[in-house]
Order: sequence, then C-alpha cells, then structure tokens
Amino acid sequence: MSRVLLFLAFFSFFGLSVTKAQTRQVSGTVKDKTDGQPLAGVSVSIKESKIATSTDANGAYKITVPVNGATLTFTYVGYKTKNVTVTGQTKVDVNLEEDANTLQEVTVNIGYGSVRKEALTGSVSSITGKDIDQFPVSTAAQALAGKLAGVSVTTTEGSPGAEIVIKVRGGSSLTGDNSPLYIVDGIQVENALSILSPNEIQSIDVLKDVASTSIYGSRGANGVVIITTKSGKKGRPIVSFDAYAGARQIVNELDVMNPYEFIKYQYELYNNNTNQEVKDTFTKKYGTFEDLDIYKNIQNIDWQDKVFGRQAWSNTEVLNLSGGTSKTTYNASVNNTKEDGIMLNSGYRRTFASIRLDHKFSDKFRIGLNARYSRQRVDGVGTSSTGSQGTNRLRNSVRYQPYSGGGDSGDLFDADYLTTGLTNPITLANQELKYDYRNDLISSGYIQYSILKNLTIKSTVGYNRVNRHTNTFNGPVSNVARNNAGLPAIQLDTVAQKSFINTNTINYRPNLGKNHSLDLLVGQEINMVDIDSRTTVLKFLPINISAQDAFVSSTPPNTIQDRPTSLISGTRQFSIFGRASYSFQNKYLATVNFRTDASSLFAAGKQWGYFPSAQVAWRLTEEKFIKDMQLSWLDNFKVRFSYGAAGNNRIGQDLFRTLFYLSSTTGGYAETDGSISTGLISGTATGNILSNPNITWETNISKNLGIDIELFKNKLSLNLDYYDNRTKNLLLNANVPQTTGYSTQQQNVGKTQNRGFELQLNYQAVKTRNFSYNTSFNISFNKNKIVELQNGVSSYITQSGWVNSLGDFKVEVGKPVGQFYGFVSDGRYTVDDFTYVQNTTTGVYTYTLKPTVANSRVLLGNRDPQPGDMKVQKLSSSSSMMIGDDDRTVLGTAQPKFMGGFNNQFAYKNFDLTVFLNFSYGSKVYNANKLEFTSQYNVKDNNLLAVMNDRWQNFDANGVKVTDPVVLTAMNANTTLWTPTTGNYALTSYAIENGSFLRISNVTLGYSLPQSLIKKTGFISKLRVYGTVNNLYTITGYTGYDPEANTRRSNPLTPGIDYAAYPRSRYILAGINMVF
Amino acid sequence: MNNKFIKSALMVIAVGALSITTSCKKYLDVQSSSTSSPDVVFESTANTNAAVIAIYNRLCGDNGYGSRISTLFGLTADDFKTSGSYSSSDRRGISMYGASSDNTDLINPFLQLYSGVERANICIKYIPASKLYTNGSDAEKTIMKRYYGEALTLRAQFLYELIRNWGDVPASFVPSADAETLYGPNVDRNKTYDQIIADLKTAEDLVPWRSGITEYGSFRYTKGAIKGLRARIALARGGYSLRSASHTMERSSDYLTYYKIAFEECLDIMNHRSEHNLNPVYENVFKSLHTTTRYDDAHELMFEVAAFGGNASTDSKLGYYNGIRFNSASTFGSGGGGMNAIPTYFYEFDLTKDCRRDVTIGVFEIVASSKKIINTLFNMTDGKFRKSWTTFNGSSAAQNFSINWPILRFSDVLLMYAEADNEINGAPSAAAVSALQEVQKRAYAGFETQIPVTPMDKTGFFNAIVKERLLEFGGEGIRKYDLIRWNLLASKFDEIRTKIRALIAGTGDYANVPNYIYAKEGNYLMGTSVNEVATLDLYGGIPNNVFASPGLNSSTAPTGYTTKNWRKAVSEDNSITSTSTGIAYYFEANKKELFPYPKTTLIENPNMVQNFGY
Repeated sequence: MSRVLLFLAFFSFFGLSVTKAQTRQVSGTVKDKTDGQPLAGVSVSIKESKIATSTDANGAYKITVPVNGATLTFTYVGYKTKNVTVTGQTKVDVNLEEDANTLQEVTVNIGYGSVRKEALTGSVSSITGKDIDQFPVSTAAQALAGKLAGVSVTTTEGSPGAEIVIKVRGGSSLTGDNSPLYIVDGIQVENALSILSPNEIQSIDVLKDVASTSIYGSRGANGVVIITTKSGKKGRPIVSFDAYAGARQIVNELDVMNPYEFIKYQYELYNNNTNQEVKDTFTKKYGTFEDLDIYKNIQNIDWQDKVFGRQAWSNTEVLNLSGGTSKTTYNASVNNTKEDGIMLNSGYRRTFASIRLDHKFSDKFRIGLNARYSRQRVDGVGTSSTGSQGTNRLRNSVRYQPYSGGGDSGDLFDADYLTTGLTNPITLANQELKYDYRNDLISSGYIQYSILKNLTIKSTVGYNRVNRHTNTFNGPVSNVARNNAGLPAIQLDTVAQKSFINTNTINYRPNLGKNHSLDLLVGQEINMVDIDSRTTVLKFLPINISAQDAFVSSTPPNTIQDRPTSLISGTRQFSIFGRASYSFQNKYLATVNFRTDASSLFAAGKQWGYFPSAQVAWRLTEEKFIKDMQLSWLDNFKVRFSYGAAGNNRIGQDLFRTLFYLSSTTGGYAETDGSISTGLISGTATGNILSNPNITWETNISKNLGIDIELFKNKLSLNLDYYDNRTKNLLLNANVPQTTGYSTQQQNVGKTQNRGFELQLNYQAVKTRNFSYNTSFNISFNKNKIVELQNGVSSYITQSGWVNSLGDFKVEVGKPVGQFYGFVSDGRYTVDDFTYVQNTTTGVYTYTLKPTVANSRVLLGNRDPQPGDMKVQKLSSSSSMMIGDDDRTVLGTAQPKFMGGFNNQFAYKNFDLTVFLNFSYGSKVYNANKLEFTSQYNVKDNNLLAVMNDRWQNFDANGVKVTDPVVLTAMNANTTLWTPTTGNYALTSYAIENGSFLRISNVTLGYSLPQSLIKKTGFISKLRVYGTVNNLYTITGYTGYDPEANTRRSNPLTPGIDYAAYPRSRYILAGINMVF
Repeated sequence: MNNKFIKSALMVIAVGALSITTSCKKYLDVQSSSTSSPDVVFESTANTNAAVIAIYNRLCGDNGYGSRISTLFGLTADDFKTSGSYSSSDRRGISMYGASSDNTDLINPFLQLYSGVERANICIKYIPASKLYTNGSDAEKTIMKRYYGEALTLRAQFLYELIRNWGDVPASFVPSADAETLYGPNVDRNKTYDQIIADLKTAEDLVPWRSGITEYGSFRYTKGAIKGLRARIALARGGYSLRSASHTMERSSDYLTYYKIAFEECLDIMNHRSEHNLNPVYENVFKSLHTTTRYDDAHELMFEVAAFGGNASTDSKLGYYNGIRFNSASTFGSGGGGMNAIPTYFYEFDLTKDCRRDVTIGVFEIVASSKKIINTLFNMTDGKFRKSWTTFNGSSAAQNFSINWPILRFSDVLLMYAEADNEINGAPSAAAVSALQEVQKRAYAGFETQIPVTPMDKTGFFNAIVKERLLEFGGEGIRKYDLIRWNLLASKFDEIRTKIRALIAGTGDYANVPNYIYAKEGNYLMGTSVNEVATLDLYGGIPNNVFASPGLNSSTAPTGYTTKNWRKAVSEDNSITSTSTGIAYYFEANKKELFPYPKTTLIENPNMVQNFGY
C-alpha cells in the first residue's frame, strides 16, 4: 500500500525540468526519530521545484540544489513530512517522526479496486507481508492460521503438502467446497495460498461479509481472499536472500501393548470359547502358555517410530530481486523448498519462480505483467484415504505385532493376510509409493487507460495452466496388489487444466464538490475452465520390479488390462457487475453492489444468479459534536452495517442432465468368450450420479454489523463484528437411496445459518528506542445451525464412511452440522448382570444376562453378552432390553464454542521475539482411531492400544480360563475396560473426546546484526538470523495424535473425525534473512 | 464533453453486452466431450447396443454373478456350503443364515442389482421413444425392438434376483430421474412379479430365437432363454416365500395360474429342440463355460453370464474362489476351495452309475506336486468349476479366469416342465415322465436302462423332481431357491442333520461308509471327471468300492498311503453344533429365508422396512 503512495509521489514529479546551471550537491541520511534506523525510499524534493530523489537502503540520499539555497521536503508514508531549509550546508541529516494519523492511510482491496481503510464499509480482515515474513513456513496458508478473526485455517493432517482448509465464518455450504475464492492480482486462482510463496505476498485482504464479497457474485459466498503480490520499487536493485533449514519430528505416539501384553491378549483370543483347532494354532504360532514368559525379554519394536520417527529435514531458500525506474518496476523471486516428511518415503519439493513487471507509458496508460511458475513434487501415499478401514495405512504401524517377526516382509509373519488384515508397516511404506508432480503456470496482465483523469478503463486477462502427473506404485504386499494376484501395479494419472479469465472494468469518479465523493464501477467478466484428466492402470507387473522401472514399463504379456480412462470437462461463466460508493463529508458512507452471473453448470433457465448488496457506514469521529468534545484518546470510531446476497455454484459439470459415458469396465460386457464390448453408462458426466434438472444457485444472504475503533493515538485498534449468514438452496451432493441405482444426487436442499461474533484487537503496548512490544488478539464465536432440510425432513443419519455401514452422524434441523451419533458407553457387564449356573461335571459356569439388563449383543458381533463385554446405555423407551438403533443419541459436535489467536512480538535492541498461540475451545473430536485400535473386529494377531491392558481378564495367571463368579470378580477388581469387541465397529461415547486446545504454534527468536557491523561488509544492508519452533506444544486433553485432525472431508456433513490422520510434527528450524 | 463521452462509452458497453447475451446461450452450453446425450445414444443402433451392453455389465464382476451372487447367495442348501468359520459380517455369515445387516458381501451386490434396474429402465424409456424405433428402416426397427426386449428381460432378471433374496424390495419401472420419489417403499413382491412376468411376455416376442441371431450365442438373452426365465419366475411367483405381513412361508392360492405359465413356456422351448436341447455329455456343459472352445452344440446353455477382461467388474472369480482346490505351488497355480460339499451330498448320487457326482463334487484336490489326492469327506469342494479347464496356469498371475456363470440350462426347462405338469394335472403325464427321464438318462450315461423307477403319483413324482434337481443343479446356485419355493428348506436342514448323524454313527444308509480312506498322490490325467475319480490311488482298489466298504477302520495307513479322514472327518461339532461351522447353524424357519437389507440402504431410505427377523 505504501508502494502505491510512493508511486504517486513519483508521479507528481514526473516530467520535471532538469538540472540548471548553478547547482551544488547536498547529501545526508534520513533516520527514524524513535529507533534511529535508517529509512529507505524517503522522498526528498526541493520545494516549489520538480527536483526530487529518494533515499537508498541505508537511508542515504544525494540531491542537487540551487547554489542560493532551497527548502528540502522529506516525505515518507507513515511519517510526518519535514521541511528543512538548506543554506550553505552540504550535509543534511534528518530524523523523521512517525505520524499516527497518516499511518492509517492504508488502502484495502475490496475487489476490482481499493479504498482507504477509513472509507471501508464492509468487514475486511487484512494482513501484510510483514506479518507473514515473521513465520518461516512453507505455505502462506500456514502463516495465516489464527491471525484473522473469523478466518479459520486448519491443516488437516501432518503430511507434506497436506490440504489446508480455510473457512471464513464457519463456511456456509453444507456440502462441497467451503473454501473461499482467491484472487491473486485480480485473477482468480484456485488454492492460491498453497501455490504462492509466502515471500512474494505483499498483502492479503479477506472480505468476510457477504455485502463485500457480492461484487464477486457467485463463489463469493464463502468469503474472498484477495492477494496482492509484491511489486518492485523505483530505485537501485535490491537483492534479498532468505534461507532456513530445520527438522521435523513426530510430537506424540499412540501407546500400544508391548510384546508380552500382546501375546497375553492373543492367548485370550485364541483360547476363549474356541475349538481345539484354534487353540492349537496359537501353540504353533506363539508357543505354549508356559513359554510365553520369553516375550517379556523379546526386543520391543515401536513401529510408529520406525515409520514416523525419523528426523525429517527440510530447507528453503528464497532469492528476491526488485527495483525499477520511474517508468518500469520489477520484482522477481526464486524459491526453493525441499522437505522430508516424517513418514518414510514422503516428502515435498518445490521450486517457484515469479516475475512481476509494471510499466507506465504515460500518465494515462500503463500495463502490468505477472507470471509465476511453480513446480512441485509431493512424495508419499500418506496414511489416510477416502476409503474405509481396509485402505487405512496407519493401522499397520499401530496394530502390527510389536516385535520382529523375521525381517521386514509382511508375508513372513502373516502368510495369510486375510486373518490379520495387516502388513508389516515398513515393508508397506517401501512398497506403496506415490509421486505427485505438479506444474503451475499462473499468468496475468492488465492494460489500464485513463481516458480522463477520473475515468479509467482497465482490462485484465489471466491464463492459468496446471499440469499434474501422479505416479503411484503398489508393490506386492499392498492392498491393490493383493487384489491383483499379489503382483505390483501402477497407476498413472495426468490432469491438464487450463483456465482463462477476462475482466473489463470502467471506473468513474465524478467531481461532485468538496462534500460529496462518488466512485462508480461497472464491469464484465468471463471465466472459462477446461480440464482433461486421464488415468492408466497397469497391473500384473513382474514381482521384483522397482517403482522407477514400473513407471516406464509396457503392458506385461498375456495379461488383460483395464482400459485407460479419460474425462474431458469444462465450465463457463459470464458475469456483469457494478458498484457505486458514495461518501458525504467522509462521515456517511454507502456502497451498493450488484452482480449477476450465468453458469454453464445449470440447465437453461436456471443459469442466472443475481446478487445485490448494500453497505453503510458512519464515522462518528468525523461528526462535529464529537470533534468538539476533543477526546484526545479517541482517534476513530466507525459503525458499519451491510446486507447482501452471494451465490455458490461449486459443483461438478453436467449434473443437471442424464448423459452417457463409455466404459469398458463398469459398462463393458463380454459378448463372446474372448473380448469385451464397451458399454455406455447412464449417469452424469462425473460418474454414477443421478441427474437433477432443477439444480440452481445456492444463495447466501448475510447481515453484518461492525464497529471499528482506534484509540490512544492509534496504539490500540479494535474491530468488532456481528454477523448472521443464512444460506438457502444449499447445493448438497445428497446421498440418495441405493435403490435408485445411484448413490448420490446433486440437490438444492435446506437452509443453514451461521451467526457469530468476531473481535480483533491490536495493541502497540510499548514502543521505545530499544524495546517494543506489539500484541494482537482475535477471537471468533460462530454458531452453525441447520434451519431446514429437504422436503420437511427433520433429521437423518449419515455415514462418515471410515467403516462400512456405520451411520455415525446425525443431520438435524435446529442443530449444528456434524453431530456425532452413537451409543452412550456404560462401561462393561459385570458378573452381577448375569444369572449363572454351574455344570456339575465340568465345574464351568455359564452366564445368562438378566432380562432386566440392557443387552448390547448387536455391538458384540451378534453374540450374547458375557461378563466383561462392552455395555451401552439403554436410552429408548421400548420395552425390549435389546440394544438397537433407537438407543443412539447425539454425542457432541465438532463445532468449537470459540477459537482464535494471540500473537506477541517483542523487539529489544537487535533482538526480536515472536510468540504465537492459537486456541479452540468447546469442540469434540471423534477419535475413530481409538475405536478401531481398542476393538478386536474379527481379526486376530492385531495389537491394541496400551489402554486395553486395563481390559476385563478371563484367564488367570496360569492361563486357565476362569468362570467362577467370585474369582472372576476379584480378578477384575482393578481393571476398568471391557473385552475388545468383535463384530463391526459401533460409535460409542468412549470415542468422543474433548477437542479443546491451546497451541504454542510458533516461537521465533531473531537477531539482526548491528548496522555498524554490516556496513563493514560493504554490500549487505540488512542481516538477520533466527530460530523458530513450529507447533512447539499443544495443551489438550485429547489422547490421539492431534485434536485438529479432520480426515473425512469429502463429505462436509461429517467433520471432526480423527481417522488414520498423518501424525503432526514439531518443526525446529534456523534461518537467515539478508538484504544486499 | 464528459457526458457525451460517458454516454458513448455506455452505449458501447450496452451493445457489447447485448451481443454477448445472444451468444451467451451457446457460450454457456458446455457438455463434456467424454459424454453423449440420450438423443445421440438412442438414435444409433450401435450406441443403443452399447447402452444395452452396459445393462449386461451389471450381471458380471465380483458383485454380480462373477462371484458374490453366484457363489455366496445360493448357500447353504443341501448341496454346498461356504468354507471357513462364521462371521456375521462376511460371506460365511450368509452361508450360515446369520448375516448381519452390515454384512459387506450383501451391500455391493444389492447396489449393483439396482444399478442394473436403473440402466434397464433408462433403455426401456428411451428405446421405444426413439425415432429409429418408430420411423427407422425395417432392419433398424427390428434391431431396436430386440434391444428393447433384452432391456425388459434384464430388468426382470435383476428384480427376480432381488426379490428371491430380499422379498418385498422397492421396485421402480421408470428411470430414477423421472421417478415421483427417490425414497420408494417396499413393494409387494407379487405386484412386481406380475409386472415382470408381463414384461417378459412382451420381450419374448421382440427377441428372436437363438438361431435367428447366432452372434448372441448364450451370452445375451434370446427368445428361448427369455421364455425359460419367465417359466422360472412364474414358478417362484407360484411358490412359497416368506411373507412380511404374516411372518410365515406362504404361497398364493392362485399359484396354479403361474405353474401354467411355466408349463406353456417350457413346452414351447421343448418344441424347438433345434434351438436348445440336452447336451449328451453332462460334463461338457460346464467345460464350455471355461474357454473359448465350446462343447455345447446342442445349446443346452441357454443363457450364461459372460466373463472376460481380467478385472473385478467384467470378469468372474469362478474357479479362483470356488471349484476344485489347486495348490498355488502346482503348475496350475492357485484356485478353488471357497465352497464345500455337504458330506452327505456325496452319497445322494448313485455310487456307480450317475456321472454327475464326479462333475459336481470336487472329490480330490491338486497338491503342490500337481498331483491329485482325495479330499476328506468334510472338505470336498464343488467341481463344476476347475482352473485346469481354463487356459490359465501357474505362470499366470490372474485371479480372473474368464469362466462364465450358467444362468439357465435346457435340463432346467425339462424339469420345470415335468414339475409344472405334475402340479397342474395332479399326476405326471407321459410327457412329464419322459422329460424327467431324459435328464436322468443323460446322467446315467452307459446305464440308461438303470435309471430309478419313476413314481407315477403326484407326491412321488414331486419327490423325484426334488431329488433330481438336487443331483442335476448342485453348485449352480439354484437349490436353495428351489427349496424355498417348495417350502422345504427347514425340513431339508433337519433331514441333513439326521443324515449326518447317521453318517457319523455309520448307521442306516451309511453303514458301509469307511471311517478312513488311505490314499496316494496320483497323476492328474486331465481326462473326464468320472475317470479322474475312478483312477484315484486308494488302498482297497476301485474308488467307488472303497467309498462303500468299511475298510481297515484304522487311523494308521498301510505303508505308502496317507490316511484321509472320511467318515471320521465329520463330527457332531464341526457339522452340526459348532457356532462357527455348523451347517446352516443360524437358520430359523419363517425368519431367515430372506437376507437382511443392507443397513446403509435403510439409513438412506427411511421408507424401507427391515425384513422380519433382523
């Protein structure tokens, strides 16, 4: 922003008269009055002439003045202008004083233009490059976490390149995408924060209220993130170099049973109510009970440590060059990141190059070009997948036998994979390899022409291209290979996406006199996206083939392969928009927006969406009666209100019509004995989805009331917002009964509401020459509620899908999205819950559940409960004591009561320290890992979490099964948990945990070398070294890896599940910033 | 001047916007070039054929007749059961009649059948509405009509499969996009049956006989197969099934109406012997399913689900999952073992004359040395599917051997005819007797004159049919549904248990069955099934004699032989009382004749009601 003003400053001196005959040179240094730091880029001009220059990086300047003397004017954004009369001196050193009033001459990007911050009528949160620079993280998104009120940034897992979910005000849409719209230098870019280098960001403005976003019409409903990249500044080239390197390490592991505990548990599985054959299998595999003591001394293997325990090194280097002349400015940067993941064979590599050029042909005509190329490679399959538990990889590291079973081959331990469902995690990690190569070209250019001083037309063209290749290798022990004769298979995916955007705007600011100001904007935009994706699978490769050989191998002879698949799709959008902003005496402000979009994603007649909005603001501090009160502590007080509509059309293509697509597998049939005829499958373009001709725009209508206050010479600023967003015609990829032949259909159903408060505080507590302390704090309260569901349905059950056939979420009117739904755990059955009889010959007791006790056989693999089995509460009023689906209830939601961030920046002399904390309170986490890892399911030879050592014991110290009620009770006096359940998993309150946390997410300590020392080098103008710890410590009661995990994202109705998430790591690094 | 300029600028925008809006409609109509719209598909016979092919696709693959429906759903009856130990959530839960509603082997086939119904519904809607159908050339019209008939038939096949397994399933006869509600409730199965029986009547007039369209072979429905399917469905409509309202096995009082339909259809097929007839060699019917070489000139195989492609969607796992067991180290590679014969089934066949026993039951297995050795009486497999009959061997890694599944055979037509005739007339006519005996004579190859005496009274003849169908269709997924429509499932399970107890005790019919058999590995000759069993190297000589003589009755084998538990392999525990292997252990009459609806389905469709008993 300061850059813009600087630019303007240069303008005013453009085309000036050149040096006259009788002149002499004056030089000097300009410094900050408070801290004595040199100021670069200060404009130095001679009053009433057109001669001007600016200070260099060391604050030094030289200017030619008339011999007879002159008045030098020093102007610098954020500082008070100073005039110095030069008579005979040749050296004029100046100290500039910061000007609290001009500091807020900050502009905020509001879409297709910007306004001064005080004229802002909407709810916008901003962050500048300076805030981001402090955080050495690989993506800008990570640096944003917790910084902005109402903007939640969560990294879903700990894997390199993991998806970062950004939601503005809770997200309005029930399904599909809740991510905001990203505009980079005027061009829409998908997922921009993951693609941009943090170092090239000048500023980020997040438009939060719908009235502000509605200028973007469709897609604006979830907020708009406007990113401005750095451009060059006039002056000599400035080269800067940043580098940092460090290591990541797993923060915590899940405690599992040790070898002896594991064996005792297996002994129980093999001997409890089994036949002799099964008992013999145990002896064959593990030995007799008397021999089991040897497992006490056997070397324990911590598989989590083996797979996730490594020190994962990473390093990043950024080189930046910027500069320019009065006509042309440039900024170029190169960024290289190499990062290992903590999991074996995972990592991340990225190289960015970007260049930005701005050129001015004349006062009226200017152009700009911006190109960015990013090349990245993400390695590793990760741990989670969208499939059910069979495809989960984390389980192997948790459940595999905790000692060496003969090398690292999964098959040696478990020749029959089917009985354990496990593979040696190391073998697996070395046999499931994935390389995701991605090349992004993001380019844009603009031409701007001012027909009149106050009438400007601008045309922006953007062209983005993404090429992505994903190569996946599945070695012999992988799940994929197991389904294909145990032979390696590869999958090669390619996606090529092109998008083209053209925006044309006319901006007119009529001169209406001193009291009135009016800013008019009309524009039109087209947006075209084309995607071509292809997939090839090659199966039955030679068993010993390496991944690299496999990726280039040809079809193995005498095999029948699936045909390659391809999907070509595209979307088109056409928009017209306009905006009028009016202000009266800078006191009363009003903005009216209108936008209409037409989208190819809907059927004719349903294509157009209309999104109007209005905003008003009142600056009380501009009122005479306030001014008259002379409140010196009150600098600014503004009240804002807005109301408006925005839309959402983020759905797949052609979902409104039934189409046919070719498939040789899901549509093919062998009409003869030796070939396949390809079939034409009905559905929609994106797969087996039922078409819906009526789908149309989802609309978000929102109210926002905000207050901005600045106090104590702008040392304290406070922004408070209250909002009420209501979304109707929700676009929901709804599950439909499978009896329709499909599993989903895109529908417009129901309404949701998000209401909330946001508070943002910035306080410059101390600012002296040697010490400064800035702090900022934000907190958001959001309440999400479903107001209406389809066709008057009041609630329904939906499935997260981590395990098949488990309806574990309840979607209910009047309640928030994401209610966990299951049984309330009631501990376990004790002997007292049974009647028992003793067999007179064998002496064995048999237990029959008392008819008055709830019978949870449905959770036990359909067998009758025995002492020690898991018990749940009977909640329904039905007379039967048999536990059934009616006995489930809502167990909590993933929605936090509030969340926020707390940032502290200290500077003492040359040291700087940043401590950033973020927190979330009141959410619940559905710990599906815990459910799985404390259940037997129907597999043997699987390890359990160590908490299960506290389970009900059926066998005595001699390995003899006890049935005597008295002995049994005594044996279990000190245990609290139940026998691990067989049968399918069911959700009980045991797995629902408190997800509140306070995270020290970043601590950075830096030291800038003193200028005196640096000057000696002759070429370095700034040098700072620092050390950082990311994710230092999390205070939480949560027992899993991380309370923020969210791994079932494809269905937004099922948030807050921690299932097979890649464990999060702590990152310790050191770095250096250098400016030449 | 300013104003003038603004005005002209606005004009330019207005004109621009106007011209854009006119071309806007076109600009906004983007259809993925990977797809086609219905008016493209159904105005071309080639594309219509592709759409019909996609309906056939729902028959094959792991979730169709390629594996789950064919080898899991039809078990257990008095022929075969699933191997392994009970778990409510997988294949063995189905076989032991203790499947839970979250059984993973039920969900996907259920979905696939319904997606077949939907694909058929779309063709049934669009084909008759296409211009080709009404205004095309005569040749085009004929072809389009045939496709229409096939679509109707396939829909009937899917719905029949759904009804016989789940009962009053929701049924829609229009594409889901046109349906009044997506949340269709359960529909009375009689109503659905009546509709599909009528549809099949329409279809059989639209699709020519096999000889009229030779390229279809037995891989697509032709007139004979449609008629046979109609007869089969009519018998199911006229038979017993578990009723949701009364919670009992019932049949409607007008059941004879449906026996008459079956009778007429079978008779018509039998009158076209040049189209379909009995294959003189029983074994060759099944060998024909295995390779591109056909041994079925008589076209006894009237409709089979074709398998090819080496994937889980269009191929089958027949011979890999089920069929004779091949050790993975043998030259044949891994195969078979997923199904086990009920121990007494072996002794239901005439020991020396009925060639079907050695085709139907996998009496031996192939060991690592690629030799054959007799199984125990407890782990004999099904035998109509054999990896050795395919071209795949140990050097091939595939799990899919392209083995087809037989849906309908001509012998079924003969026996349905005989059964219907007996029921309608109160006693078998000469034609009925001859139909039964025709099947028996083929089975008693070489002993045609020694077939069992045919009872001439209604009950006796019916019982003979019951027995004959057991022997003829073992392992073909037919028996369980026969027993259900006759309401004999419960009593047959009782009967099996009684027989097994007699077998264990070595009493009655099993008095001479040996406790142990002593065997040596022998060369696998790859000859006929009967000869393969006859050449098993057993202590005591000719195998058929060994099977019926008490022998040494010692667990110690004579030198050079290995002891194979025969009668001894069967115990009260492993066959009857064990909760993990007891035959049909969780079966309850008037309760478990139907599967539970998949839980997922009930979660998604609140209008559906779970079957009684789950």
